[in-house]
Amino acid sequence: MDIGFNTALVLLSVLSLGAACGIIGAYIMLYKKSLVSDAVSHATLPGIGIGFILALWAGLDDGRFLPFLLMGAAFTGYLASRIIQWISAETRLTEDSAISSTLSFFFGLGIVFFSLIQNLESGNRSGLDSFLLGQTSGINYSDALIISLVSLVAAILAITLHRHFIIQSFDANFAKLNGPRQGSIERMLSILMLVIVCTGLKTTGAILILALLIIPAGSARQCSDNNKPMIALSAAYGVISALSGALLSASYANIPTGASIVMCSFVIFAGSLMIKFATKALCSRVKGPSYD
Amino acid sequence: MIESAFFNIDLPAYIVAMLSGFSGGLVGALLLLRKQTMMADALSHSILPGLALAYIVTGTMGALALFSGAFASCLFAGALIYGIQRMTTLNANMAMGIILTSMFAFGVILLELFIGGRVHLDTEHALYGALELIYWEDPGNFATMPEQIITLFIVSILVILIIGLGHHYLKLAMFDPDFANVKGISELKISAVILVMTVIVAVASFDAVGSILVLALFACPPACARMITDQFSRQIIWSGLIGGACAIGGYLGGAVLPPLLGFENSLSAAGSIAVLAGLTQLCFIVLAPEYGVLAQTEPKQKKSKNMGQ
Amino acid sequence: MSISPPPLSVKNLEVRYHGQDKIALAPLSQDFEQGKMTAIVGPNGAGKSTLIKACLGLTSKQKGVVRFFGEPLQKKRRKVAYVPQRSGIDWNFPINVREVVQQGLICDLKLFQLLTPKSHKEIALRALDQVGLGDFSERQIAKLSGGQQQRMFLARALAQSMMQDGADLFMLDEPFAGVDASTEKTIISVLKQLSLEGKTIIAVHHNLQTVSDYFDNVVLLNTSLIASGSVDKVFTDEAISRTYLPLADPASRLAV
Repeated sequence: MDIGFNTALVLLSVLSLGAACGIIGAYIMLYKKSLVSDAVSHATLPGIGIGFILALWAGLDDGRFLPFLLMGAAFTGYLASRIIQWISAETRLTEDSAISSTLSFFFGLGIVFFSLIQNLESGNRSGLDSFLLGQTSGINYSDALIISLVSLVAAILAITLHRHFIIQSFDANFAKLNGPRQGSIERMLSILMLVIVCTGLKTTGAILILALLIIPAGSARQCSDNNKPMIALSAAYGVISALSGALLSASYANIPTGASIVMCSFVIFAGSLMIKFATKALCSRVKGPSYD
Repeated sequence: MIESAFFNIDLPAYIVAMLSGFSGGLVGALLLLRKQTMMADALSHSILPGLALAYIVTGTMGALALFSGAFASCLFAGALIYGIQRMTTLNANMAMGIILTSMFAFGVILLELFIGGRVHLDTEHALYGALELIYWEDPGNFATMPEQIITLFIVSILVILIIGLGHHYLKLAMFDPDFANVKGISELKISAVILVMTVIVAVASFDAVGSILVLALFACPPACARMITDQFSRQIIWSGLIGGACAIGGYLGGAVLPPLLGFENSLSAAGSIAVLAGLTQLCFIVLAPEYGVLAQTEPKQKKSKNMGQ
Repeated sequence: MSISPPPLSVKNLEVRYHGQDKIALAPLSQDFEQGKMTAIVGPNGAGKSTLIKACLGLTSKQKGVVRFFGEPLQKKRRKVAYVPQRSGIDWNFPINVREVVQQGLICDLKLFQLLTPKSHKEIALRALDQVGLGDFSERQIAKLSGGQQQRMFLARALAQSMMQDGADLFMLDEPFAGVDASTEKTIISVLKQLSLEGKTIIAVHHNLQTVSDYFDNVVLLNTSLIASGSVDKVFTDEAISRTYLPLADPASRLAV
């Protein structure tokens, strides 16, 4: 297989994204904020629309100017997470209700913007459609470079904060008493989540990026009871899912990349479950029942 | 000309939207009280592979085949979610997230590989429905009534019957599960009933608003109702009414208004419904007389009696 | 003549329930004696846990002044160890016993320090030995019994006292709740040893029978302070019944 430099770079971007999503997703899982990521990722859609309209108005790239799109995505994604917090804290509504309504409102707004843009562009919005379910074929050299760099930086940042994430997600009161200023650690994770969601938009799309944040982490949890190995495994599973998914999507052009990545990660999840139960069954047969 | 467009296209759309909003609101109220709103999201995403498989297996787009397929895959998803929670340390949210994305992705792949634009079932439809495409060939003639209306009508009646006849049991199970268990109303039975209602409403609404935006109907109207009342039955009824109203209003604002105002095309109907539902919820959150944000921030006028949740 | 400030000094501490005018803890002032073991005692819902949490800044809607060794908490974090109630922890969290205990030493680490020094691991293991959990150090926490979990959190506080310039004040929230007799014996012997070393122990305690055996001082609480002082003087039948009196006439509860 002749791997040109461009393809190699795109694969590198997919690899880094997978690792970063695996790592950051694992911390999000420990904080039990996985579904908030669902809402935030869906909420990037109207921001992409706004960024597109602004770029069009400024005459940049027919509107498909990535920095504007991603900034818009980050803006509405951030807005959604603040609204969810506000609703949960200030009203009698619970978090799951807040997440659901915020998710659907923002996604609906995004669809409305997309329909608006379709009217403006007279049907030529195929560029934006790829942000729904992802398409690596639409990723060029500069996109791949940005995705790789941002993912690597986010992953490294997350790992340096490992101890703080663990302590705070395990025992929030203890973290408040003994750790750095309360709120800043959790805010860091929210920012990392927002960043990695926006970074992954072109690869997996807004709707399915959640899978890359949840499934490798869930699989890793089955394979380890200790946080450090779990984080490493989650990164590895993220890389494998992302790479195999991207390669599959490249071979079958009509499969959106997001979908194939999700399926690959699910296969890993199912596999890790089976291995877990097989080893449990094997161990109990060898050791006899344990009365721990 | 305009009149005919209204009866052929808009009228059925209004009816479908209203029925979706109404039944979604009713069931959503139950989900909200049980803190299971996200379950509706998980189940609606799981519809897609069922629909795709139904078409692939039967080769038809018949309502019965599609409905059965969708229903079956939702139940399958529900079983998987339950299974993951039982067999691993992962909690409900993680299980739902894993299943909803996997099922939806699977459905998308099935669509693209095996169906690929051949019939009126594609990814766009899955994402935001096709309310604008519902067509009543001979308006007023029940023989040509679009099947979406028929399905939704049946589903709505079913939901009204179940909730109406069963609301004492539902209320009891929610506020005193142990006592209800003694009376033979087990938590499992209640969960099953609510799950089935969620699935049939989501499947019936698929053509209206698709898999993702149906969540707006399950989530926002019940939240509005929660802000204005504490009574069980009132929350359900208000939720249904607000849901129906938002759906009608959303279609009006998104699909009908722009052309009337002189724009060439209209906006996404499903999207507009979701937006209106969300904005309505915001209004209720801020303005609700007793529990709204404005009412709560008035310092000395807060009532000191402890209202039950 | 300099008198060292009390390990914990509370002035007009008041806590309200979130969003309501209802009082969780009425304005309370109290100094806690250095080197003694003080029990906080009262009926359910009396605000005992709230008092501890409010001192540690873990509640919202609180007013009043709290000083640890004369300073605000932020300046004396190392010196205060907190042993919480076991509820509220997700026992499926992927962490083992030793890692939890090592958390007690986090004040000794810099913000971005990646590697844990070997000394931390040794201190953690020593603390675990003291509470009788030496063999459990690498176990994931779900595999512990209730008593073992309680001892693990005590070991975390112990580790915090073992580091240089470490904890001198221990605040425990119902340390004996739901534990078996042998665990209770282990815990109280560790606490008494700490007290002998000059450390101060403050604990929310639910068992009236054991107050005079275990503790030197007592604080009787039912939303407001009923009485406080040494167990001999203050822990009388009369004071106890006043504390546990149903809320017929709240004013009658307060001593003249």
